[in-house]
Amino acid sequence: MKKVFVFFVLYFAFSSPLFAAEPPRIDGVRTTYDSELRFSFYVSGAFKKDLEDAINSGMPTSFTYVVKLYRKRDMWLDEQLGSWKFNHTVKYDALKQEYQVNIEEKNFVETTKDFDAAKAMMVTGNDVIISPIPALNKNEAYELKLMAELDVVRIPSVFKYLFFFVKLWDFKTDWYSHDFTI
Amino acid sequence: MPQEPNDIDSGETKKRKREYYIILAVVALVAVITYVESHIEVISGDLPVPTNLLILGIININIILLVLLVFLILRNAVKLFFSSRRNVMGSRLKTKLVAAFVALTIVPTCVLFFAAIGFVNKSIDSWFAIKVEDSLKHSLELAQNYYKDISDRTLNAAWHASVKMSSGGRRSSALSKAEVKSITGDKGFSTVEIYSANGRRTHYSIADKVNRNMVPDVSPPEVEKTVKEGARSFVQTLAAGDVVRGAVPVYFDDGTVGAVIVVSYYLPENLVSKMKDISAAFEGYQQLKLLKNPVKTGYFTVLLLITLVILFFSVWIGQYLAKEITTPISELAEGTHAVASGNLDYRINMDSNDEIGLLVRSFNRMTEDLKAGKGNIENANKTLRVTNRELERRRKYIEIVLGNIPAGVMSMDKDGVITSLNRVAEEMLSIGNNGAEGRLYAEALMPAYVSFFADMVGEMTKLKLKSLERQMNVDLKDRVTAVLVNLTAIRDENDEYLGVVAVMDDVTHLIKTQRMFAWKEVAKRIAHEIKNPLTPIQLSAQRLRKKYIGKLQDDDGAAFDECTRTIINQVDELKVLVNEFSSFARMPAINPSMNDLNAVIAETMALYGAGHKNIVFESVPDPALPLLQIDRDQIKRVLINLMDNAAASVEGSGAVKVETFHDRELNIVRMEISDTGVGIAAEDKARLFEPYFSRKKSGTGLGLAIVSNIIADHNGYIRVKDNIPKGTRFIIELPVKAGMI
Repeated sequence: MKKVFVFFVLYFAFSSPLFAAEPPRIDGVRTTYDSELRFSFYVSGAFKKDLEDAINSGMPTSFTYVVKLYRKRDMWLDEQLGSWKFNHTVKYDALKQEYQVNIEEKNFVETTKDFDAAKAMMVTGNDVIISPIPALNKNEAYELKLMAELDVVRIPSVFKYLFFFVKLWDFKTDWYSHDFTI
Repeated sequence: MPQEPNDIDSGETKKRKREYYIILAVVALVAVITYVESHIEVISGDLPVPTNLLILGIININIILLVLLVFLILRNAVKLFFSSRRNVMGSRLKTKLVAAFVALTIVPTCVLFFAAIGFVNKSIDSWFAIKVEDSLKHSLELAQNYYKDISDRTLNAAWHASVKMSSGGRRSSALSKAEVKSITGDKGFSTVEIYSANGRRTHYSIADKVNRNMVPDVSPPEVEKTVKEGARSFVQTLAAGDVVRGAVPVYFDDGTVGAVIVVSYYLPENLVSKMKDISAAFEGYQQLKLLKNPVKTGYFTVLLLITLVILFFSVWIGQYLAKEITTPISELAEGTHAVASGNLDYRINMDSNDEIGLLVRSFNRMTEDLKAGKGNIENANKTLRVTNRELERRRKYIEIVLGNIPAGVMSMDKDGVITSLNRVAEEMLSIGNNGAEGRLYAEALMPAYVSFFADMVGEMTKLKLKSLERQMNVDLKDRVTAVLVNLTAIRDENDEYLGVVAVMDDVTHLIKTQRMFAWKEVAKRIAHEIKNPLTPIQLSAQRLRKKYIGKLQDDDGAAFDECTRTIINQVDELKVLVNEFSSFARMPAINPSMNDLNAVIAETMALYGAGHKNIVFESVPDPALPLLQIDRDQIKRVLINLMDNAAASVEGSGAVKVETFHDRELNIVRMEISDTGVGIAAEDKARLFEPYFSRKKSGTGLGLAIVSNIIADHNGYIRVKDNIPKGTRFIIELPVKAGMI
């Protein structure tokens, strides 16, 4: 009897959504510096079935990216050089059957009928320019920290009170740390 | 129990401390909850700040209430459980009341909860009815098809123009008006624009129904994109409506893009708006469908929260009401128990104007009355105890008096039951160890005494006398005692007959003394009356004898001689007799001094023996005999008298024994003179010590009377009893005066 109970506990524990898929994480970060600092990245595992259904139902969905730049210092706390935040927002137009993706850091709206292309635009950042920043010194170590977060899906206002404690399909990645030297 | 002021203060202090702790706990709880909530980002979501604050407040209150309620309920439940286990007064009633309240609340609340869940479930499900979804979907598809149709048409028209421009080896980036008209015909296109590969517009035609504000020019990036990507259609959304454009590159024979043809179709704003409404409705529906389960969960959570609040609140109310009801009842029960246990100082402290308060006040008043009554009873009881003690003291005193008086006292009630009897009466009436108190006198006394008392009572009744005196002889073991019985009727203050009391006095000694006195008087008179004429008679006889003895002859002389001699001798004998009477009558007063009785006995014993060869005289003195205050000569006379009598009573051979013994308990010396003679008949014993009573022919009958007199003068006592196996035993008891031992 005890074994059966333990089996069921383990089964339900490890078959829960928490263990069903990999959590979203930031990957492929690379930086270039040529009078200005640029970096690229992508987020893997951001889209789950529920989130895709929500986007396809016309809910506007935003990924917020937070970037922090530090100058590394020995024997002392790192110096924060700046902090930036930008959004990637997707909205499906059911009438035109197209996805409008707003890339805030480039001040650009892309329209596509391909959902995979829209998803890729949402999770990818290419040559994102960080500015303004003080001049970076050569041979000095820096750290770029990046974190992605899914904003609250905008739900119909009539349910706002009802979902006071409910946060739908949100996620927040761990801070991704990328050390680099110019 | 009435609480002392200190108890009240300490209780109040404890209560206040507890309240402070509760307040501190609530404040801490609020702080923690607020901190946690401030870190829940969703709470600060899209709602305005006042709404957030309001909701936060409501949630806080709800949480605090829930926590407090759960705490109170659990605490009270635990207390109730342990109270029931320990059988604390009132816990059972409280448990029943709480159970009743909970049952009364749980059933309708649960029914309402499940009914509400059912309704909510059904209502939400009805929102997503298939018909609604289908109709919305079809509407959207219609709008989508419309857009698609317009797109297709613009694209087809652009393709058609492109074909025309590239057919027959033409390398022109322009079309004639006729060609444009043949392409567009009356198909309602708004504009036809042709751009060269470098982006310069080579042709532009616009329909009459629209203007450039409604359908603006195609932007160069769109043209570039078409050159790069090929034929495409796209929608440009404007304030005045949507413009659907079909852009197709014109390929020359060498495969290069020579131009781009863009055909535009204007959709008016009112049409676009309606289609957008359809789209928005479908999107809203889809989103709603997506939120179906969270909405249900939300509603269920809210319902569950409300139900829980109602349940907890009702349970708390139940416990509160149960406490309100059971506390005074249990206090009353406790008070009743305390009062029943004798604690009349118990008071219930409760301020209430309802019936319970009236009951409590009545209880307190009743307890006060009981206390006052008990105080009165205790005082009366104390007085009664004092009276009883006094009565008991008096009774004991009377008992002691009765026990110590030489008279016998016996009382009987009107039924003839002996109610009291003192020791002397028991001895006189020969009542054994069984006792006589509480028994009928007819059963307790010997028949002779029963008839004696019955006769007396009968005579009193007959003659209606209050008291009556009679003398009776009481036959004790070794003597007969004369007892004067005085029987008196006892009557209460109402002259109600209660019984009789008999006072019995031993008058033997009195009678004896009276007789002795009488005899002494007689002896004195006889001595006086007889002695006086005896001397002249004797002198006359001697004179006659002297004068005529010689003158008378023969028979006359002999007769004369004999007669005168007889007269003289008889007169001498009479003189002796008179002298004895005289000496008896004139018994000298005793002259006591400290003497050894054993020595007196030894001296007396020495006189005997030689004259009585057949009799063995034996003395058994007590060596521890104390000196006695006695008249040596008188006691010697007593001993001589008794030993003479003893020796005279022995016929042939026998023994006479004199013994002494000191009885320390009674503080007397007992001297016993026993012989193995003929003994004394029982009927003679009573009169043995009376003067002039003698069974001897030569005795004057005064010997034992004198002995008795001497012993009486020594405050002693003499009695006679049979000697076992034969003979007589005289027992003399003389008191040992204090300090003589």
